[in-house]
Amino acid sequence: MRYAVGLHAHHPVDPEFFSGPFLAKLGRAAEDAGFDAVFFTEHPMPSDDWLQSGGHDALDPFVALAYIAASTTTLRLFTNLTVLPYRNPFLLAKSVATLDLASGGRTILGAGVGYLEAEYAALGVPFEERNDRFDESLGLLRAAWTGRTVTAESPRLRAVGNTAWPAPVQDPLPIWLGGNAKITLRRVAAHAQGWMPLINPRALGARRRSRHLDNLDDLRGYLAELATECERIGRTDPIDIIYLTLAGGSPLADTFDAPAHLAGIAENAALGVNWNIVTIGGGSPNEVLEALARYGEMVIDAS
Amino acid sequence: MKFSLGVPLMHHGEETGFLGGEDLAELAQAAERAGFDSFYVTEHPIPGNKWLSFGGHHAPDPFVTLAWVAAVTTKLRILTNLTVLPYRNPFLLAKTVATLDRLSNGRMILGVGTGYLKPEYFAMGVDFEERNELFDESIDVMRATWTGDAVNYEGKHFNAREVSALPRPAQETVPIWIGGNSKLSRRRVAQKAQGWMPMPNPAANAKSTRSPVVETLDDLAALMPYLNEHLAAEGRTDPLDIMFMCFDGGAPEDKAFNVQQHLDALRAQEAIGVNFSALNGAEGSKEQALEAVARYGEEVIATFS
Repeated sequence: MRYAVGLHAHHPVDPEFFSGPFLAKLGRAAEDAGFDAVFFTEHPMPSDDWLQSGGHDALDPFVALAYIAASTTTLRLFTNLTVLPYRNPFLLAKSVATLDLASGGRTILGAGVGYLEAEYAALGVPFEERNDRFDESLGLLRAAWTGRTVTAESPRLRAVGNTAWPAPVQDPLPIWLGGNAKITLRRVAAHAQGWMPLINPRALGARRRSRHLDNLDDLRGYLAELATECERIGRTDPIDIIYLTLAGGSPLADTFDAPAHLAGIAENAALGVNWNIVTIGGGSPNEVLEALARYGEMVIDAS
Repeated sequence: MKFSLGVPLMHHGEETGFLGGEDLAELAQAAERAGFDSFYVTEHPIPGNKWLSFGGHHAPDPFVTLAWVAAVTTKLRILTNLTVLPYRNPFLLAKTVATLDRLSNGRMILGVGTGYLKPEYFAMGVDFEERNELFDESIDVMRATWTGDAVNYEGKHFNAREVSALPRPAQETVPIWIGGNSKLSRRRVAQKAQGWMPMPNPAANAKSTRSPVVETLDDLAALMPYLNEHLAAEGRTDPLDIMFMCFDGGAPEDKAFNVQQHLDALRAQEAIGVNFSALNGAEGSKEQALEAVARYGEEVIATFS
């Protein structure tokens, strides 16, 4: 099992969480604790409505990950997740390639379609085009990352013989796709190195515009769909499965039950999950750093 | 005079110096030690092959690169020189810049221009003919976004209702420096910016860059009155930073670098109002680039402090 950790920011967040010195400490603490990756989410311009009802403040994930990368040596740098249609694919390709080159090949691009219509509107991206744009981006990212001449033509953009150079260190650069929709599973099988199923309680209904996932039977069912799809297209190389467990409670709490948490991880692993993500938030900056170290001792070292 | 060091330009197929984080950190730390005030990166996400084959160059993502630089330095300011403003949605760019300003504890300077490479505009999916409208609107959108308050904006190209971006930047006013020699650029500087980045623009390039020729100091001096008139018209009394380049005396990586000639030219630039000097890092080996930085610090920057 490999481990990825992310900071759960709130709204409004304690500004220290979003300072350079804290991010450097966070990266080093994660590396010391045995985490394989650190992740950031993305919300450039959320609606106030969403912020008031459980949403959170966020940094630009590429800038934050670059800052952490400069302060660490082995930790992988993971966007969990970036909303692919928010950016022109060539601009995104350049950001990711730059991070990968600077970090010596530590980048993982986690990508999703997103669901906040107000944010789509502010960014000037038609919400109804999100799937077309997503598919287009997957193709053009790979084309740009060859470092060779790109030609492309779509209703949105045109490459008449352009080159983005140099290519990233990793080939292929890992793309992990998030979401539970059938179309997501098809895209994972066809284009991605990893799948990030998204906990989506039935109680939330359709807010996230994705199929529900709140128990292991759901996950088992979706993994079977993914396996069937891989078989259909003849894909045989392994796909990383990135998931989490809520068992044992919050790693920040005194009541955190590490054995129960480990049992939850083991249940996931039995289904094929090979990356465990944990989100730490709700305490002070120091408490978060302590929780990372404790998680390393009680979970990562014990697994 | 303050000094700004640029990451060396990258040419297709050549050794990719300073893209690796360790080398980049060495260069940035060397710049800080040598007394440079700031460090800059240009931007070319996916240039057209024709331009590349006629002397064009590649560039890393400036924001990712500057984040790395910020993490390994303490005082060095970080500057995009320059980012092509219409390439990005301004709300997205506002978030990127605010993040960099936060993480660097207020060291960010956003240098922007309109750009001129049509094939790159096509690849960005941005209408080249709209570049000036997009440019002006983007500055207004970013300023509104950086307040951290709820944004309600209705423009020709951008619209937002009850959205907000937190955290806001560390600096109360993120400095925006505008590049370009045109009258329009100078008017914009007076209306919207904290700095101006005129560019050396030989007559031979003037057509492709769509900007007035600046070959001599007199050419640059001739652009000042119009800027000053517009600053006065705006009632501006705050200081304006003006960054230029100095090629006199040669480049510090060359044995023949004539320090005295270079210093004289810098003093002459100062006399007409230039207060920042941009120096592109030396192309070639890493050692050459680092030596040039140290030499420039000792022989040039030290005489200004």
